[in-house]
Amino acid sequence: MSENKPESGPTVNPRVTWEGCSVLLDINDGDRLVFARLSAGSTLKIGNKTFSLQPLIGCPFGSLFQVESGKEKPYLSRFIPPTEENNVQDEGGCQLQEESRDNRAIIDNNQAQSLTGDDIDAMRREGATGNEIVEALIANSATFDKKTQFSQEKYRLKKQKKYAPRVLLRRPFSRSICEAYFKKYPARIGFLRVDALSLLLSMANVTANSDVLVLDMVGGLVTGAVAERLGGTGSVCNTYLGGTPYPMEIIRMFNFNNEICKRVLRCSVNDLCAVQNETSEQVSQHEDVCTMESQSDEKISLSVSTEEVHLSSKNGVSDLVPENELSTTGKTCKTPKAGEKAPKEAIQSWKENGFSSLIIAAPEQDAWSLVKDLLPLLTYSAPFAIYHQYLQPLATCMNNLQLEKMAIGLQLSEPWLREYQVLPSRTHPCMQMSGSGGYILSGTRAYSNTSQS
Amino acid sequence: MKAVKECENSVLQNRFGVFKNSDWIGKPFGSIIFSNRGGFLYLLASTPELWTLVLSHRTQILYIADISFLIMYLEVVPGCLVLEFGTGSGSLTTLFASAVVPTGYVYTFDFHEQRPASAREDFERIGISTLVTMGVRDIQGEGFPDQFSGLADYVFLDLPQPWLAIPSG
Repeated sequence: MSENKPESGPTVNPRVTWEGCSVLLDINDGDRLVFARLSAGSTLKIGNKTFSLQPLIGCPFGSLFQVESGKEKPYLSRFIPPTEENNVQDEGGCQLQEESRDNRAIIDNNQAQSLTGDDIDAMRREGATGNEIVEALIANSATFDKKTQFSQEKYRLKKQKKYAPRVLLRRPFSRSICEAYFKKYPARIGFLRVDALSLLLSMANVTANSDVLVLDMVGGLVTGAVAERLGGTGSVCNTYLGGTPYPMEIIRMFNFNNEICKRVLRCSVNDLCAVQNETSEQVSQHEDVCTMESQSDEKISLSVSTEEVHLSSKNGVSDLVPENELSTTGKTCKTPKAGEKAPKEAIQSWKENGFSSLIIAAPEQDAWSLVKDLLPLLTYSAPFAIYHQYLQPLATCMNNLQLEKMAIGLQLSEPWLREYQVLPSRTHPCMQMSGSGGYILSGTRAYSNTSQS
Repeated sequence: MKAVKECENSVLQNRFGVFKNSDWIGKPFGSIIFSNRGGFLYLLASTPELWTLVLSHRTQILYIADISFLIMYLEVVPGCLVLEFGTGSGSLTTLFASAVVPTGYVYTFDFHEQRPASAREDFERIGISTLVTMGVRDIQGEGFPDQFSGLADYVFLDLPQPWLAIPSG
């Protein structure tokens, strides 16, 4: 993939980090994933040491950082891997030859390594780099030469991960955010795997200039992914049953600019279904009170989640209120807030034209009762997609939709994803695989004379 | 499912009967239409996903499951410049175009002489020709076009031997 130069100005796809942006830190090639917000004071803990994230500000996404021993304490420095293509090819050549070594003589009694923990600490204090420590460990290992080629590589990698950990600066995008949450806190996103999320977006035909109705009970992940695809056009209506909006804290990870945030609106199902204007006014007054409460609830849920995702407490509090920070580069870093209450004009326009598609991601709810209320809000021939963690509720829903003739082209799908390790002579599926990423019911709304528009 | 261009006087015939196009005009999308024999069909608005299911196959195409995964993994959003090598029947091209609209663009290439012409007709028919440029080029033999050097956001290769094209990228 050809990566291009960083784009300047507030563009849709900034490639360089800035102060106050959210990033996803990938430690040791996927072993650990941490969400962080970059600022002068933010830190990251690896092992038992804490590192400042200051060096990461202003670097392009995709940069690799390695732990280096500094004069006072270790820090993260940008690491550019040397072109190793020649080495890899030589190794490939070696592997084609017969591998005569095996592990019959290797006894795992913890005595192969002659360097002690104290020796390593002494080396660190003298300023040895991580790689030097790894080389020293290899030199002092009695069994290293007896290992096979593959085994030696694995050993080296294992030591490097411990003594010279690497951090990859990843851009938070719907894919990386979904993968990270699926790995760490799958329950929060209703066990929605990334391929299920992508299928959900495609089945519902989410493109620019569409008005998408979303019932999102997975922390805002689906709303964020839809907003990303819309790219500042159209609108996303995040709807909710009852009076309290569902939490949407994941949206803050996406680094949306103002334009996109403006398009993410919230409205309760009652408001959308209310026919008379007077009723809707009364409801919206009631809504204002609820929104105030829900915002404070949101703050509480935000601060809980930010603690759990390794943000330092200073940033956790400051994030909740959008503020104008003047950083040294002179850019104002205001965190725009998505999820404003939908204005009357928007609700009116949605009622007249109907939404262009519907996405429901509500793992705890019954799909049919939700679809019954929400499907009539769509325009005719609008696609919809419903995600659920389990099959049965969707099967019931599908049956009911067919009986009521509310939709056609109904399809119940289960996406399947298997990850492979790709190395010469060692390409095989990974040892652990996700068993279930949920199910998706998709279809198109049909027109019927008896349905209320 | 079939993609039909509606004309006042034409007629659709299949094993369920005869359907007159003039009956359809003015009806909302999603309506059910009956034939002279009591068979029925539904009129659906076209979407890129439905197009994938009805387009004429000149080559094996990609279907929605893989395409949705690709678009997610490539992180394609409105405003991106996408290069696609190996247009085939244009199934993926259509989805790329719908992902980058309104400010992005898709350049797609195929080394076959006749397929680009059919592809261009299809793009014209479904209305994405303002977002897509179709060219003829043998990527494996000639490498990537220089005019895009440093500009593309994403490059997608669907070729028999993609490793031959990689060095020039």
